[in-house]
Amino acid sequence: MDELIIENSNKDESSIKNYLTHPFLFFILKKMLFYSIVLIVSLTLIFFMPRALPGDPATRILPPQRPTETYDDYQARVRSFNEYYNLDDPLLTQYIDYWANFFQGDLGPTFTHPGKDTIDILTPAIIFTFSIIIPVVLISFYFGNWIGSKSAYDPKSKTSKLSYYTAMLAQSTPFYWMAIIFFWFFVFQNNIFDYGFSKAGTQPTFSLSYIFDTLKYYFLPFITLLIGFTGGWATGMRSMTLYELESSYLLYAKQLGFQDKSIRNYAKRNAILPQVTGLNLRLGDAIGATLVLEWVFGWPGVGDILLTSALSQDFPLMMGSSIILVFIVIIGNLIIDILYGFIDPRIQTGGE
Amino acid sequence: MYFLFKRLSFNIGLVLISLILLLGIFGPLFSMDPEDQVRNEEQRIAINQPPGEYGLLGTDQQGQDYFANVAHGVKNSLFVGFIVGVITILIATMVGGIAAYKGGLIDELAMLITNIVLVFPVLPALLVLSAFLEERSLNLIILIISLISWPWAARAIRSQVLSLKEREFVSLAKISGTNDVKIASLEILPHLLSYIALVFAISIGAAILTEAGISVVGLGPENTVTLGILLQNAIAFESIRLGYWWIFVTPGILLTAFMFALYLIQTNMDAVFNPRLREE
Repeated sequence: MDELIIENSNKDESSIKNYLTHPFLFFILKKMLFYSIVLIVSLTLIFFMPRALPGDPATRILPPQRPTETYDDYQARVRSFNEYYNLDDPLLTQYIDYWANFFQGDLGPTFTHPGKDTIDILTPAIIFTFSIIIPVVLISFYFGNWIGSKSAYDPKSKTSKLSYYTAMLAQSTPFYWMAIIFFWFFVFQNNIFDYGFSKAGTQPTFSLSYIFDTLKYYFLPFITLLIGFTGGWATGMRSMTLYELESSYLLYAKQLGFQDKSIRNYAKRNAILPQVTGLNLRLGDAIGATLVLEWVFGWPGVGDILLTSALSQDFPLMMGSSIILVFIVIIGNLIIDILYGFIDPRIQTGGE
Repeated sequence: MYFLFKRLSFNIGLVLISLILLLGIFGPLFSMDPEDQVRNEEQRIAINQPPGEYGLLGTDQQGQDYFANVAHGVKNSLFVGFIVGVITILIATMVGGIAAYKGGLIDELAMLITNIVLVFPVLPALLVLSAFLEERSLNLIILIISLISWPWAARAIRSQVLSLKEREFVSLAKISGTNDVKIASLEILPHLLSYIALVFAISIGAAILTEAGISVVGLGPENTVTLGILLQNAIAFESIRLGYWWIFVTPGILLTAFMFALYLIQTNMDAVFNPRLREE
């Protein structure tokens, strides 16, 4: 007991030093270092990919000479392209410029939207993408875990089995196919919802009529993603809770006569930890699914821009949206890691 | 094993998987290759015919027998899944196994690389990669899927080897002077096989879904037919707007059934082999 007090008083004296070596802070710093490496690697890959293509980047990347265009105009286009990307400079200079531009938020011009910069097109798109990913991840995480833990308490009952197999079916259904079926049923057969995004415009405003109009387009991609992800969380949570309910400390608690409610609470709290770790992996899946769904439903997010630019070979816009995606992934992962540190007290004290 | 076959849901999964495998293996033998059918002008007369008169699944947007397309699609999708599964297992066992067995700096470095690749979401990375490709053959798509989707498997195998190498029989082999290669292949690998089989099954499912995902968008392999490409054709030829249900429902149902069966088998194996979950 005495030793403990001495240790605590020692900690108070050198609080600044302790603050820096605090395990939780160290954990976050370590994660930030890791994600900086990821950022550097991925931006480097994005830089080198179009340059590794065979042939002259300008003639390969630029759209070919149009019939309406004279040869001189086309050459001028090639020259301005080379100038903007400094393609005549040594590779190292280009690479340094690329990073300088990146830190200034300059992602270059686009081919398919004349007179506009990549960043101008992507800024509203980020809002649209977030408006799908963030609610879907939060709501599906909450309800999926709720359904999963409920169905684990009495695994032999009919309702539990029904909800389990429904969740498994929802998880197995490829989201793009679900989107196609919904499209067919709700848009073409019954005309309940709309697709594309022509009437309301792609510049988000916060007026009531705009939001109301947008919801008609929002619902289908949102619900498609939500169904699949809720199913995924539910099946994972069920097996995790079952696993925890059979663990020795809970069997012991049962022997001691703990109430069912508190035993379930302990099981739930421990089962949620691997689920939070799973968030990291599922975030990537969610982003991938959102990309494709945005394209299928014409929701004007980053994914729609990425895929449209990929299909129309608008490489600068494609690289720009890839950079934005990398950013979203890294920041999302970092937030989840910090969250995990808060939920799992072992991280805060430096344990494993 | 006996307990496994006593479980109804496991058997349902097994039957579903076998049916899809049979369709993929024997279907193409009894139906014409879609590539050959294009040249057959007579069949082009009847396009978008519902199931019945013109074959089990009717005809598609170009008047081809849709059952033939689906059978070849299943075959190619399974091929993608199988090859990606094999490559994933090979890379994952090498990286994860060596990292865990050697430990130290090698482990740190291997896990750093693994974790970096793991942060990239598979589908967006593949979409960007395949947009840069000049010619997208089926083999090239298989290669890029394999290059990106091994990290989770490597981590899973690493954690298994970490616990295996602390076991007594490994220490005994070490003490008696057996070399590392022999220990890895004769002592550790046999205990890993059932786990590798599980990882293999999961990566087959994931690869098939991923390939279909990039194909739906139109960035998949060219000059071939997979389940994802059938869905892409359904979008491109407006089969959805026109309501030709057999064209866009069939590939999706097959994909869903395949994934559902894999999940059924996987959870049942968990329930039987995991002592904590065992119900008997």
